[in-house]
Amino acid sequence: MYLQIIWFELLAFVCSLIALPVIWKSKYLRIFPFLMLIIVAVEGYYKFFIADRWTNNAPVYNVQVPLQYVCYLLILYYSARTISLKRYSIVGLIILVVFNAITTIYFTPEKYSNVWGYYCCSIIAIMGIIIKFYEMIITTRTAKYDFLKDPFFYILFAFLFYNLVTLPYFGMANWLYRTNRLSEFKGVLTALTQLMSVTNYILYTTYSIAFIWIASARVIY
Amino acid sequence: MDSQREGYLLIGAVMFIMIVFLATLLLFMLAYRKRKREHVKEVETMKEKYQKEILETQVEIQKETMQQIGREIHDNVGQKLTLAVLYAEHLNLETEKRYNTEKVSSISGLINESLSDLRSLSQNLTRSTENAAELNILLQKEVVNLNKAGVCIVSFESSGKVFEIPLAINNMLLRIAQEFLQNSLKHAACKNIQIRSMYDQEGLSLSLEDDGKGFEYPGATGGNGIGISNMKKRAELIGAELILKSSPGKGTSMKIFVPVEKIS
Repeated sequence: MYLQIIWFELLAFVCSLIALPVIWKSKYLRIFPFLMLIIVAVEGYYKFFIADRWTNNAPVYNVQVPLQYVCYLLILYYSARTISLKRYSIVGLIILVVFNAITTIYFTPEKYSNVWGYYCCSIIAIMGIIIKFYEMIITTRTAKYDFLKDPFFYILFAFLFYNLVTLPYFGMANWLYRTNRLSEFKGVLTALTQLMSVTNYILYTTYSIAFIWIASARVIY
Repeated sequence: MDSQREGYLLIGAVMFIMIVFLATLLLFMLAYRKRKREHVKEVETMKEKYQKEILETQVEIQKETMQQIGREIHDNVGQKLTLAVLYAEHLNLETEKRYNTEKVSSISGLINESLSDLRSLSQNLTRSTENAAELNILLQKEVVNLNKAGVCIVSFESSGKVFEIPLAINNMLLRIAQEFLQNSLKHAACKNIQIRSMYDQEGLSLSLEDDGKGFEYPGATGGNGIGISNMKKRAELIGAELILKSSPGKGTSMKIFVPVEKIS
């Protein structure tokens, strides 16, 4: 099931390119095509150029995942309208980079995923999105601003959903892998893999719809 | 319980908590949004009410000031001029041979003329009944006065059952109509002006149309003259919708619609 994720990522990437003339006007939305390119490049490489499905891709993901979250934090930074969110994004970005660098270099065995680094990224992103949501509901920029009519809200909500749901998955999968209990918990792992695939489908479908919405409505908040 | 089952339960419980958290967050945001929208609506209503009250007070103060000036003219200046006429006429009778009677008569005539003008002014200022009259009557009077001038033919027609309009709205509509008529007479070089008022369940519509030379509207710079912006401002104050249409050679038309909620 997870093998199909790449198609959803490609769709989101194409949609972000379709919306490019509109999203280029926005400092934070213009980061999305670059973010999607990072995702699609790595996933596409393993899908189309590496024949062996079981090739260890952990070292590449240990770089790609923090890079993705750096993009998300930059998106939050540029979309911020309050100084508190700007500060949070900068501090979060520094912590994320330093923590991931240290844990990947010194505490992650070779060919293993840096799960602690992923946890750090995910938690910083979750908190950042919650602060952004708070900013969205208390905004005074215009009395008529309605977050439900802003495609960016759905992008963030889908990403929050993805992070909250996949966080236990990565923790459990990593624990099983490290304790060599994968065979004992094969059923759990399969269920978790499927769940992760579903959250990915939801995430990238939401992105695609949001980009098409932005492109057709030509409105950026 | 076997470890496989335990694993399912553990992950299931954590995910359930996460999803509940997400749902709670969304519900909180929706509830806050609802409250915020209600608050914005409330503030808008209060603002509208406040503006309406200010407008009514302005009209009331203006009316009272005019009445007071009118009374002062009538009671003070008018009385003194009457006395001056009497003195002049008396002087004429007493000193028939020593003064130029023609000059005294012309002074008396001038004072009488001024007195008549002042009385007319005083009446206009103190006619509170006219201010409170129906819009149709006021427009009809305006039409009669304009037709007397003979610059162009002004016609007026009304349809629907006339209902009572607050003084402030009445006054504003009249001023907007006057502004339009003045502009048509001064700049449009029109032959006909048509005024229509329509009263129905939805509100009051007032339309004015001339067959003059028209103008580019909105202008190339997007700006309007002071007159147009005043009309718009007045319409905005009473919560009316004003649509002005004009193009060179095709005349000018204006439609004002006051919804019944604003009137009541």
